[in-house]
Amino acid sequence: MIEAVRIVLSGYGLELAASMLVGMACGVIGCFVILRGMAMVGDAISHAVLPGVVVAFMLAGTGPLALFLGAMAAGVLTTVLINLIQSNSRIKGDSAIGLVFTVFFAVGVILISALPRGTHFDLKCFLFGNPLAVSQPDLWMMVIVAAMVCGIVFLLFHPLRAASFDPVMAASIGLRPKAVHYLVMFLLAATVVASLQAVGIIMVVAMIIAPGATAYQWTDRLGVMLALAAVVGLFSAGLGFIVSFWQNWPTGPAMTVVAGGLFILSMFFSPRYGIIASTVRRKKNTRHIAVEDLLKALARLPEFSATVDRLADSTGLKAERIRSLGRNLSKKGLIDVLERDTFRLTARGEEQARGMLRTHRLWEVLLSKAGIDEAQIHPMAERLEHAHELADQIDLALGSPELDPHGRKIPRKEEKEDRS
Amino acid sequence: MQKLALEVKNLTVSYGSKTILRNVTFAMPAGISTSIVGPNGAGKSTLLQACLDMIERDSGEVFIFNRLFDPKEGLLAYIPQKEAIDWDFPVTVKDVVLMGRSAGLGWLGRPGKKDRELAHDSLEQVGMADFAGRHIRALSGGQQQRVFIARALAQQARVLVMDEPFAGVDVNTENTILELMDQLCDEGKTVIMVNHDLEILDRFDWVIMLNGTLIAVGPTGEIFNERNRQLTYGPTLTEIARAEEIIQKGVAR
Repeated sequence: MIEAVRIVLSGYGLELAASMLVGMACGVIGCFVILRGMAMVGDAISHAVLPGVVVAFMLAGTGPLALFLGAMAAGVLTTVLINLIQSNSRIKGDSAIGLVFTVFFAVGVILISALPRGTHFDLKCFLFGNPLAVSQPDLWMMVIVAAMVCGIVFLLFHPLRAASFDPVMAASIGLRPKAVHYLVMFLLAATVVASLQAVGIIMVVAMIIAPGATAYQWTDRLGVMLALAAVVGLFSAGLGFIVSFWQNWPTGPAMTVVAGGLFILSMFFSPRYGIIASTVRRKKNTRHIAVEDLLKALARLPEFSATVDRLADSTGLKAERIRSLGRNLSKKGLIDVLERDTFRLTARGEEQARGMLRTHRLWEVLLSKAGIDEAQIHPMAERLEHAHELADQIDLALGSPELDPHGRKIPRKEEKEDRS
Repeated sequence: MQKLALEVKNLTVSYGSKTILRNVTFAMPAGISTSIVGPNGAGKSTLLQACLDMIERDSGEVFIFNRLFDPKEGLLAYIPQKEAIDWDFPVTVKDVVLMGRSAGLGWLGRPGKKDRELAHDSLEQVGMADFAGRHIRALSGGQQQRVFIARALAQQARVLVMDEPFAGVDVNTENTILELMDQLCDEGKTVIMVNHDLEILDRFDWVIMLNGTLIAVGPTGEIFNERNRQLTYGPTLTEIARAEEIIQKGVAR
C-alpha cells in the first residue's frame, strides 16, 4: 500500500487532489440533498446529463467549459421538465423524475452511437468514472467547481439552513425558499458534473449521499454535519484512489465502496445513533429500571424482605432475572440473600430505595404541576429520577410537598418512611 | 389615532381560476390575541400566507404598524405547524432561535455576538435558556412551541402569526401555548392564530370569522354570535365556491 501511495503522489497528484476535492463537494451538498429529500433528483440529474455531454462533444469537442455547459444545460432542462410534468398532470414527483431521466439517458446513449466513425468518446469513463483518464483541463474544472460549491455553501450557510429547516418562516423574513431551492439544484448539478468523470454517472449519487448520511449519524448540528461530511467525502475519495492503485481496482467504484463502508461502520458504531450504542443503552436502561423496581418493591414491603416469587409478582420480572440481579445487588451490599431465594434490603439498600422513591415522587409532583400529560408523568419520572442531585432543589422549589400526584407519601430525607 | 398592528386592505387571492379569498379588509390594534376561525377551505391559512407574502395576491395590501409590510424588516413572525417541521433536522434549540436573527441579515450576513445575545435573551424570556444546547427532538411539545416563540422574539417581531398551533398537541401543551399567548399580549405583541376549537374562543380578545370572504371581525364577545356563526359555517357562501367549481368544469354544453 505504501508503494501505491508513493506512485500516486509522484505521478497522479492532480488527479488525486481533484478527486478528493470533488469528494468533499459531494459530501457538503449531500447534506442538503439528504435533509431536503432530493436524492432522487440527484440521481436524475446524474443520468440526464449524458445527452448534454455528448452534444457538447459533438459541437465543441473535448474541453472543460463545453463539457460543463453541456452537462449543466441538460441538468437544468431535466429539472424544468420534471417540474412541468408535475404541475401540468396528475403524475407525481417520483414518477416524473423516473420518467424524465431514463429517457434523457437513453437519448444520450443513442447520440453516442450516432457519433461519426472513429471519434473517441469514452462512455465507460462517464458511466463508471476514472479520474486517471481525465484530461488536465477537465481536472482543473473539477477543482474549480468543487471549490465553488463548498465556498457558496459556506457563505450562504445561515439562509440555506433557515430555508431548509422552515421554508415558510424563511419566506416570511424575505429569504425566498424558491430561490434557495434553485440554488441547491444548481449546486447539486454542478457537483454532479464535476464528479462525473471521477466516479461516474451510476455511482455519483452514492458519493453524494454516503458522506452526509455518515455524518448525520454523529451529530445534531448542521454545521458539524457539513464539516464531517466534507472530511468523509475527502477521505473516501483519497483512500479509494489509493486502494484502486494498490489492489488494481477501478477508481470510481473503489471510492464509492469506501464511502459506503464508512456509512455502514458509523451506522453500527456511532455513539449517538449507532445500532450498537442504542442496543447497549436499551439493555442498560432496562437493567437499571429492573434494579430500581426491585429495590422499590422491597422498600414497600414490611421487613424489607421478600421471596423471589413474591418479587416476581410485584415487579413483573422473571424469577431467573431477579435471582441474577439479586446476586449483583448483594455483591454491592444493597441486599442480603437470606435462606433460599429470600432477599432483604440492607441498611444501605434501604437508604438508596427511599432516596429513589423520594426523587421519583418529587418528579411526579413537578411534572404534574408543569402540565405534563398524566399518562406521561410516570414514565417521565422514571427517566428523570436518576438525576438524584436535583431532588433537593425540586423539593425546595415545590415547598416540600407531602404527597405525590397519586396521593402517596413522599419520604422525607431524614425520617424513616412510614410503610403502612 | 390608535396604532394599528396589522391592517389588511382589499385582499383577494386565487389559486388558478379559483378564488380562495375575496376582498378581505380589516385592521386590528396592537397587544391583542386573535383567533381566525372558519370551515375547511375558508381560506384561513391562505389569509396568513398572503399576509406573509408567501403566496401571490391578486390584489390587496398589508400594513404592519402603518407601514407597508416588508419581509426583510422581520416585524411579522411565523410559527409553523408541528407537522410542518422535520424534528430530525440537525439543529439545536439555540440554532432555531438564532434563525430569527436572519431577518435583519439577509443572504450574506452572518449572525454576530449581539445576535447570539439576543437569541439567548429570547430563550430566557420563554424559560428555555437551560435547553439551548438540546436537539429539538429532545423536547416536550410545550417546550418545542416555546422555542419557536423564542425565535419570533429573537426576530423582534411585533406581530406573531401561528398556523394551527393546537394541531397534534395535547391539552397541556395547548394550555401552555394559551398562557404564553397572554404573556406576549401583555408585553404588547399581537398574536394571530388559526384555531379550529370554538370552545376556547373566549381565551382570545378578538376573532376573525372567515368563509371565502370576511364575515366578521372584532372583539370576541361582540362578534361571535349566532348570526355570524351561521354566516361562517352555514351553507350560504360555500355556494359561491360550488358555483365557481361548476363554471370551471365548464357550463357550456
